[in-house]
Amino acid sequence: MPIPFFAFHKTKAIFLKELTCEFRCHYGSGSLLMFSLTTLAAVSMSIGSQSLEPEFLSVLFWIILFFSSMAGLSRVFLQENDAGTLQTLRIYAGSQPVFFGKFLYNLLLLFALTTFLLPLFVIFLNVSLPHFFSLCLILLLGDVGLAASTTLIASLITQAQGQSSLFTVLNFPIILPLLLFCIQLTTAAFSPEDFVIGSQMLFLAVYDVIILALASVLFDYIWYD
Amino acid sequence: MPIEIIFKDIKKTYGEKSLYQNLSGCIEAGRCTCITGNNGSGKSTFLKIIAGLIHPTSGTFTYREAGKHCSLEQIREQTAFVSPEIQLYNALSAFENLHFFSSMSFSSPLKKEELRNLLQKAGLANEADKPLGSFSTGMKQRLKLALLPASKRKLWLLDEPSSNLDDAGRRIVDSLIEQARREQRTVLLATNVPTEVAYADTIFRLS
Repeated sequence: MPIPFFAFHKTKAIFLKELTCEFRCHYGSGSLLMFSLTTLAAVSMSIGSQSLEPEFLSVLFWIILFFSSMAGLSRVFLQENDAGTLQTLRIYAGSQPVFFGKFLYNLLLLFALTTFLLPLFVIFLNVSLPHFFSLCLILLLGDVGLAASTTLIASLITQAQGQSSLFTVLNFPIILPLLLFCIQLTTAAFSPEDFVIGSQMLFLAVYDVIILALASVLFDYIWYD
Repeated sequence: MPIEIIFKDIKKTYGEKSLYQNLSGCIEAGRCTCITGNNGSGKSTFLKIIAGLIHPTSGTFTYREAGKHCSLEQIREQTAFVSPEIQLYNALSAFENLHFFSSMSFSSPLKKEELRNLLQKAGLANEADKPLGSFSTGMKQRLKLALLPASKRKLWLLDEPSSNLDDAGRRIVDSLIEQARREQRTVLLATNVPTEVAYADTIFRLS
């Protein structure tokens, strides 16, 4: 169902509600940041002063980002379910404002995580950034795809048992193509050779649009059925 | 215009347990209909089916507004629900909860003064800016009741609305049902409390 114009203020209300609750309780951001920090510290200490190839660096970066997001982004619906507010939201809020409000909130959390992780990654692992702005674009597109997929799957698993493992398992096949392209592009962005924005970047953008549109359509069925 | 609901041959089963068999009837537009029955007879389940939160095993619901057929999506946008299972956000204040849920109903939320006025009527004026986590069960129930006029929806589903309320709280329920009658809202009430059953124009007894 396409999001009607008048639903934007509802999307904004959901987004602001998520932000206010997060600001007061730190449910999602705490686990995201702590997970990424401990993983990065473990990787950094085990590597020591070795200098890694761009291929390894980009794989490490996206693995940390992927598993950190798996640790925190499911809370956007699980927290509602645990608090008993999911049913209230189903009664008073329409499906599309809920999906887009929570997607935007997850996206903001991912942006914050990426902004937190990147400088630490550069410092701890002694990474040079010859194509900084291209890297920012790759991270932006990667974060959009990750946020759309995690928001949809988080809503799907609210009634299931073993939610956290199921969340990672269900997200993995959806995110895998995105992750592979992000790793390839990040490798190129970490390399000193010339970086060309080509078909892979376009693929990332199209993938984001498709996954967001599919998630929006599927969410109606998840929300009401 | 008020909403009318016609249900026909409704059946709901959980595993081998059957709650109703071929339940049929009409919830009249702009009137107060009461559902009574023993514990476990399916009163709350019926309200959830009407709200579109769960589906019946079989049977049909027809929704009408001013004689015109309405879809379930349109009815969802017009449904307000008060029930012991409905929870509000403990991290937000009473005012923020009311503001958030009223903004889900309109193109622009109610004005602050209107929301404060509703909180005052619910007896929560002094607690309006305190987090809901510090509220008692009765105070939370009062806030849920304040959501009914705040959402301005045409169909009110009330599941034991007086539960956990003191005498003053029960008077709020009285005045809300009176208000619903005046404003021609359709009210469906699930209760066994005789004073609440007395509000009803029509009574269904589930066995």
